[in-house]
Amino acid sequence: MTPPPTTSGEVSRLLDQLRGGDREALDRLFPLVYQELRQAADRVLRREMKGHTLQPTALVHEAYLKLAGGPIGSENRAHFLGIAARAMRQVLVDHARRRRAAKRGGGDAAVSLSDADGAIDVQSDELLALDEALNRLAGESDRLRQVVELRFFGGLTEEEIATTMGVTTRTIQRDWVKARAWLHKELASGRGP
Amino acid sequence: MSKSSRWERLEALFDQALELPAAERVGWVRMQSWNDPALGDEVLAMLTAHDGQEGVLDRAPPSLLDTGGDLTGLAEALADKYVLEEPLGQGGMGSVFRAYERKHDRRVVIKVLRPEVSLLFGADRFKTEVELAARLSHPHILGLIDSGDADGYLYYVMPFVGGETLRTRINRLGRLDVGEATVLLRDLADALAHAHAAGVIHRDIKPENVLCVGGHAFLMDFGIARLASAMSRRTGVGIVLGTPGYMSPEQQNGDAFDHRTDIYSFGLVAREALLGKPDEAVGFASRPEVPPPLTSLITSCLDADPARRPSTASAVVGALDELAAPLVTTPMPVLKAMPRRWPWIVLAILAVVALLVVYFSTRPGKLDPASLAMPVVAAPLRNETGDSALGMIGRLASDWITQGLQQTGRMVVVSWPAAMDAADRAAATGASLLETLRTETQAQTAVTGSYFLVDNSLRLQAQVLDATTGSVLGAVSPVEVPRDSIQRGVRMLRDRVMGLLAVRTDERLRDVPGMLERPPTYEAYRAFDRGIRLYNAQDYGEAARVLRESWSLDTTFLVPLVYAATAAWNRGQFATTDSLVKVLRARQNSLSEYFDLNVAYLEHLLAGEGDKAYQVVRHAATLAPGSRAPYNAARLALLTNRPSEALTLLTTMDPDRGLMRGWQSYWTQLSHALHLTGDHERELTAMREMRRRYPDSRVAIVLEARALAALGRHEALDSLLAATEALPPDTYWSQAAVLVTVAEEFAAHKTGVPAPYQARAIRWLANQLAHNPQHRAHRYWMGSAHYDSGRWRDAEPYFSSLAKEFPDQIDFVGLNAVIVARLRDSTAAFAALGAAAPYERGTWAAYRARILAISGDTPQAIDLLSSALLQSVNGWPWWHASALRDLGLMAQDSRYQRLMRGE
Repeated sequence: MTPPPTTSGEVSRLLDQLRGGDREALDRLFPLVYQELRQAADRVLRREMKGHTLQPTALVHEAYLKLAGGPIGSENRAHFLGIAARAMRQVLVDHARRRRAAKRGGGDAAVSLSDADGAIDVQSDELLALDEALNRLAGESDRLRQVVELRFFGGLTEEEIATTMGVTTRTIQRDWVKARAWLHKELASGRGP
Repeated sequence: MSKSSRWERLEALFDQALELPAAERVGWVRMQSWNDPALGDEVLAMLTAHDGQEGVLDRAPPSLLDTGGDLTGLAEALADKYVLEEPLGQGGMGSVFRAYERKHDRRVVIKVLRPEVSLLFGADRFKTEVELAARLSHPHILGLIDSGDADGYLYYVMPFVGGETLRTRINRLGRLDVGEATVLLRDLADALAHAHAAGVIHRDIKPENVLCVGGHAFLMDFGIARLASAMSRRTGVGIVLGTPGYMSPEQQNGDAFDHRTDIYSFGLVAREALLGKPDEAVGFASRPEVPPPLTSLITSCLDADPARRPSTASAVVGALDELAAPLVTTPMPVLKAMPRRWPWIVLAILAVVALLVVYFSTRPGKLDPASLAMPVVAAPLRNETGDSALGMIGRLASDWITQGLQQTGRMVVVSWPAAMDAADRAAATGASLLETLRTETQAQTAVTGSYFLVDNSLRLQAQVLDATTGSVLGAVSPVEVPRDSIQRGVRMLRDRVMGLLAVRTDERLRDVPGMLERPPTYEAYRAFDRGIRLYNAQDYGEAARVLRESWSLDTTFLVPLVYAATAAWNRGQFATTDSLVKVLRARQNSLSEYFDLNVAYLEHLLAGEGDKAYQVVRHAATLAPGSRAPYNAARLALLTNRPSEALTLLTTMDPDRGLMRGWQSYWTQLSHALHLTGDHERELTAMREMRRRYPDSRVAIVLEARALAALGRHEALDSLLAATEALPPDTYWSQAAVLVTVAEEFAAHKTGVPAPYQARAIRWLANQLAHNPQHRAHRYWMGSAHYDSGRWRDAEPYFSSLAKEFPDQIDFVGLNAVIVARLRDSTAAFAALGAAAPYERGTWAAYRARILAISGDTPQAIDLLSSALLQSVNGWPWWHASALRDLGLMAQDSRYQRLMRGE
């Protein structure tokens, strides 16, 4: 198995810096987390991790355990999970794009499609549409975008999201209801490219 | 307006609209956004999305497995047992495939959990939960066939029954037809009642977990929700289990909950099925044709307070039965007539029904409250011994009788101190004891009596009086004991009083002449009651044992012996029947005329005199129209080829009253009568009603299939056949029984092609017999399937071995003889058939007629068949189809045609 690309100490330090208001820390942290998640996903796909966790939200938590290593403050943990959720979104979207390209861009021998692919393509399309709608939502309210990412891609509870964002759980609940309604409305209207 | 302030307004409008009652939202938003209709449209679209069906955000994000992995490993790991055929869908928990099960040659559904879910569940825990669910066996629960771990994937296997989920059906139709919904909901409630009784709560009832096949519903995925919730708690990793929208408030809040959480979810599913939307705001007012009792039932299921929901799923079933069955004649006037306040009233009724169910399920018999006015008071017995030292006996008897009556659990009894107080007051004032008891204790019925000395013996006697009129409702036979055995005497008297009142309040016995004249002791009555319940459940072996025990407890009580004899007859134990009838004959003078006729009926049956037995039992039926005699008459009418008489008898009986209530065989006979008189539409309606009432009944499926086959309803038939695949194979009325019957009916009514059904039956049976070669029923159906296809040689080994192993079974011996006639000649066949016991002579002669038909001797065959039918032929209602190969050879003969028309 590939060794982790970084040490837990480095991640902790970056998280501390991030908390201290260092925006650059985020730029350095995100690629680390993305890389870790991406590698985990690839291992899964090559079936090197038979019977291993495959669900994205679970992978996020796992990446956290691995990268952040030892005990870190709950605030740092929340920040990390926020980043990881965003990275997970990216990993999934990249996968879906590659998949769509492989399927539609010809080269039918490249991917051996099992019978189950019909349902899966629907999911890929759904995910890409969601990603685009989420980008539009970010244009209106970045807070709602963040809530959706943390909850849907990060698998965070409402309490965890509230801690990450420094607001009350009640606010998060309201935000989620709103964001969900808006995104489902967007997806139902079929708007977008 | 700047972009950000427009968004802020949008958020604010949406937030505030949600605070309003659903019905007011649209108007309010329109009003608030009058100067920006586009904004209003957007908010309203969000509100619609908010209330709408689950979307992508309500599911887990697509698993990485799904976006690239393949399932080769899984398919390989399962290859020994299953062939994966087609993916059926994706859920929050994993993937669903249709597959082929090699061992039983059938389609199955395999649910494979996502690997991460598998990992978190753990194989052991999964096994425990799944096994718990697998123990559930119910016609409307899609049970588990198998489960395991393949290549790291946990999976479980269910029968494939086709159909669609309720979610799909609602999406397809918008909403369900009210009648259809009622039947489906009844199936679900029934499934829940069964699971709850077994201590299993589903926890995740939603339209996605309900499979609709034709007009019926199956509940699936028991045990899985429980696993998922346990896992979420343990790991903190949320697995999205469909929408949380179907959870009860207590379950959502993480409070303690019980089986009533399922009743809540059931209510949500019911509302959605009827209204097409899960939205609370869409009221039942939007669909006025939903009958008020149904909306009210559903509303009560949806009460936030579990204590105010129907307390059991059985109560829901009962309430739905009231709605679904126009045949049910028991009036519930309050439910039908109340215009307004009736949600509360219905709730109250449901609560009472539930209470009664709980209370009386532990009690003997059924209470008929109309038969005896309550409360009952046991007065002190009058001391007529002339010895004041014996004065305490009367008070002692009152105390003991009071306690005894309370123990029966069947009546309201005035407490002993209150009875004593009233009696003392009557003695002090010189007023009438009965009147004082009535005014002081409100008693409507009184037990009074006296005791006196006869030489050195104490004699106690008691009677039951109407407290208002003073008329005698019944008396027990006096008890006489030695003077030094007073306590024993009082106990005996108490037992007789209890027996009298128990019989009096038992609706099953009210219609039985003779019971009240000679009431049994309470001990004997209790055994009798148990025996009758076993008898009604058609557990004749155990019934006969308990009924004989009842008789031995009180040998003056002969009624149980009559039932024991009938039970033995029903089991085919003719020698036992014969000996019991002889015991009864020796005590003939102590039987009432009705039971005397019953004994005569058995005697004629034993002598093979079906015609005479029929006359006797018809007479008994006129003596006691509420008894089982009309039923017995109808049954015999069918076995003696009088289907229209049978139909008349059956249609004048009420299947919801007295002894016919809960008597499944009534419907079997009704099916025969309608089938043989050619009224297949009514037959089908009746059989659907039978299935609704007896969802566990296997024979009901066969009978419904027979009606469908006679009508040539191929599509409905296939849906029904699909449902049979979900049932356990190991019974007489198996899947093969349905297939063989359908093929025979196709041939008899020329409504379909039998061969494919025969082939399916043979394939299925071959598979079953490969594992269980000795299975008697499977061998019988296998022989029949081959015989019906005209393959005598293939049928021969099955029938000849059955005849050898069960030489007492006339049908096995008869079928073997028929095969011999086919393969050799009639002489050899008659030899194989041998001689017959007297009580089987009719059936035996009918087999001889079949042999003669095969050898081409039509006139003699018809003579023989006619006389056989005078004696009665077992299974005759099936013969027009099952014996078609043989009897059909005479189809051109006019006498035969008249015979088969029941003329």
